[in-house]
Amino acid sequence: MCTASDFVDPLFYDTRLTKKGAEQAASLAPVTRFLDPAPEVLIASPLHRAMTTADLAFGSCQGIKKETCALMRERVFHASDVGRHPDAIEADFPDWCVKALREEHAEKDGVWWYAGDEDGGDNLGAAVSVSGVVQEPVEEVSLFLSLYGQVD
Amino acid sequence: MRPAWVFADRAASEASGETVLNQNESTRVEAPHPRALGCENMRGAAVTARLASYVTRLTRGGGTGTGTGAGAGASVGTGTARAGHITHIDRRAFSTTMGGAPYVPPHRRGSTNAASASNASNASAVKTDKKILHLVRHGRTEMNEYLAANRWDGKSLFYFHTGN
Repeated sequence: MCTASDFVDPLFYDTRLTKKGAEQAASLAPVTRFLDPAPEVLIASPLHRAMTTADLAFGSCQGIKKETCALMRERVFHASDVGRHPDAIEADFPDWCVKALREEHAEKDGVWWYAGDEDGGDNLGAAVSVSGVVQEPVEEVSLFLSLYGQVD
Repeated sequence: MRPAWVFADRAASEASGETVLNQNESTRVEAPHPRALGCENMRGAAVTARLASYVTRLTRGGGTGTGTGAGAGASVGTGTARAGHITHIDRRAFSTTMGGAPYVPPHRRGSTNAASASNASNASAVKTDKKILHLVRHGRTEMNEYLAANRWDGKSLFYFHTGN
């Protein structure tokens, strides 16, 4: 068993689904295909694992909007939780809309994940976000979903 | 207003990497007191305004919209968006993984008839004008497998329950 002090981060930046993970996601497709009412929009974290899961799980849903939103991101524990620039995301997921993500984080050159302190933080590092930092997105995502869910 | 699923989701399935289709309750349309939305101060109002603007941008394909703040409401497209709650998070849903109970959308629940509950597509339609929120946990990742082999029990930093 490792402790925090001897745990070694394998540096799996923006970690990918394994074959098993892809199978898990794809196994949801028969369920999502028959959802009634049909889904109107997919909203996923900009992390590769989340968008890939969404694509596989909802692959049979035609004409569904796909939006990626940084509010859905996970807390940065390890390098695996560090994201990628919106341009890279768009290249891998061309049918997902990253416009809002890009605009929302334009001031930070597209860095939408937690990357250290506002003053001099290392934007390339996997800074572990502290509780006070993560709390705000958690509350914001609830409000975001409330607002989104009530759009007629 | 703290959606438990965000942390429960991670804590319950980080090591296992199981895909979870969460059986959330539907989004309830309410008009809570602004304080409940964290809008008791200017910062809260600013957050609300920013999110309303964000939602507007995401949905502007349906028309033009304007954001507003302080939980008072936002006009989006041809409809309206009001600040409200995500309520009734069903924690039991987190045990619903592959091989578990079939997923039944929240608006189709209520029947104890297992046969009808097991097939959402054939269940009697219950009309609702509420939006339904389905939460899906991502599938197993390379990091999930690494964590399963190298438990990280840094209790001085975070309590990390692997569920295994």
